[in-house]
Amino acid sequence: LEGEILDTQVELVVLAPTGKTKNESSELAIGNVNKSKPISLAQRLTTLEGKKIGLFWNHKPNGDVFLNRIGEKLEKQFKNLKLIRYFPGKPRTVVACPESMHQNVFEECDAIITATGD
Amino acid sequence: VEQNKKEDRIFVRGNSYADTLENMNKLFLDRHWSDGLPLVPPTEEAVRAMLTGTSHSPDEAVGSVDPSGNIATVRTVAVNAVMAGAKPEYMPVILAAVEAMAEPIYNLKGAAATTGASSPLSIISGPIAKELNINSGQNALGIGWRANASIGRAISLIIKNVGEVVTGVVDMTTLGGSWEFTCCLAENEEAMPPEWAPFRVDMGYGKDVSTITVRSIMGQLNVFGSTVTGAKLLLTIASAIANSYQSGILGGMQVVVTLAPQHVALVAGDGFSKEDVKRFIYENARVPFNIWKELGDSKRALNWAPLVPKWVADSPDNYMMYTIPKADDILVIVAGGFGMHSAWSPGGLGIAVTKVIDKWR
Repeated sequence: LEGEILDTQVELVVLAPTGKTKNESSELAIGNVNKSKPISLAQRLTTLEGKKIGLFWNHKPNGDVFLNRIGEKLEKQFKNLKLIRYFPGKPRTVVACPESMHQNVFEECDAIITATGD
Repeated sequence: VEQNKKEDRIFVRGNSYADTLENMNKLFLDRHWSDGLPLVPPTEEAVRAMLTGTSHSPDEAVGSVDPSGNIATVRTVAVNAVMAGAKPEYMPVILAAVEAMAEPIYNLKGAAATTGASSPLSIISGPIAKELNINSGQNALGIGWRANASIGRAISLIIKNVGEVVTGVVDMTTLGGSWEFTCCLAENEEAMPPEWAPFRVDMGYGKDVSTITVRSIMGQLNVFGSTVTGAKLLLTIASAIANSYQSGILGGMQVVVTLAPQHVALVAGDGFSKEDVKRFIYENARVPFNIWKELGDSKRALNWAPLVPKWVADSPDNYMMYTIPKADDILVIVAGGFGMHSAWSPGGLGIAVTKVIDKWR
């Protein structure tokens, strides 16, 4: 009898409820999703000397204080470093940063430091 | 347990059906694919049946779901809808919700990750509400209604599973709230005063379509009032908003005001249009500056230069501060059954997004 119980094994085949990454989904029929290019990391800078560094504030309290402190430290450490402050960066805390603003920042800076959270 | 990576098929075994089900639920919990309650197994057969609820191809991308930004296909939505206990005919509603939350302005990235308990309230407006038996009346946001419970739950599971929202890793919510499990209702059009337009019209759509609006909220607060005039009731609502949400002016949050049928009859009977209601609440949801200054985040906020306009910081102590940025930031819906209980919901991150459900049939 015990053997019989062991033999009555039940198997469920279920599907994973997760999504596809944008890279995996290149073959999907795209409805309203922009078929964006696969995202890769930007080229790393070899030095911060003489570079334009953006300080991008997310508009949350004390983010400006935090970024200014980082800016001060970087200016001491690297020659001819130019800081560009985006204060306030985002127009509203509760909504995502508009694409046009991203573009400006990308064009104006060699690298960006962002403040996130509170 | 075995998983065929390529096909996303998972084989779960046990000594009985109950045992297998328990193993599946345990596995899904371990992988952060569960809201904690038992799930309906998303078998291929069940998912196939769910997919009969829409004419769209299973491989069609519905939207990219933040914070992960991963793509939810029609099939992914169906898998989660099965898990949530939805019926196939609910699919167009859930698909439209995913399309809406994928809009950057909804800010799911922020809502899902923030310390605030920001989670969607789904408002269905239009003929489909009756067709699918979505509750708009008594206890519309309460328990015991399959369409409301499972549509809202499916939406929450999609955020969690496609957005890859793991507590303490991605989701930093301090306390959370019950509305994160499910929060879905339909507009009660029968209780709508004849001269008031339905909510979908407020959101820019035609009367003949059915829409879903998703809005991140941080709970729902009851406003009781057996008042004799519409103005008194609206003052009560405005006072509730002003006194419990005094930092609203800082973030620019849209709030939702849900008027119960008896309350809306009272208000409309006293000649208020929906626009009048918004303006009245906006004008009256104010607090004296000298009180606000002593509260919560205000000291920090006053040093938070770009957010608090100089004219606020320079205002006399008796200046009455607005707590809602503008009248149009109040979304007014009519829902609920008999009784004198309306409600308002503090807004979470992002803003409301509306999509047409019919397109996903």
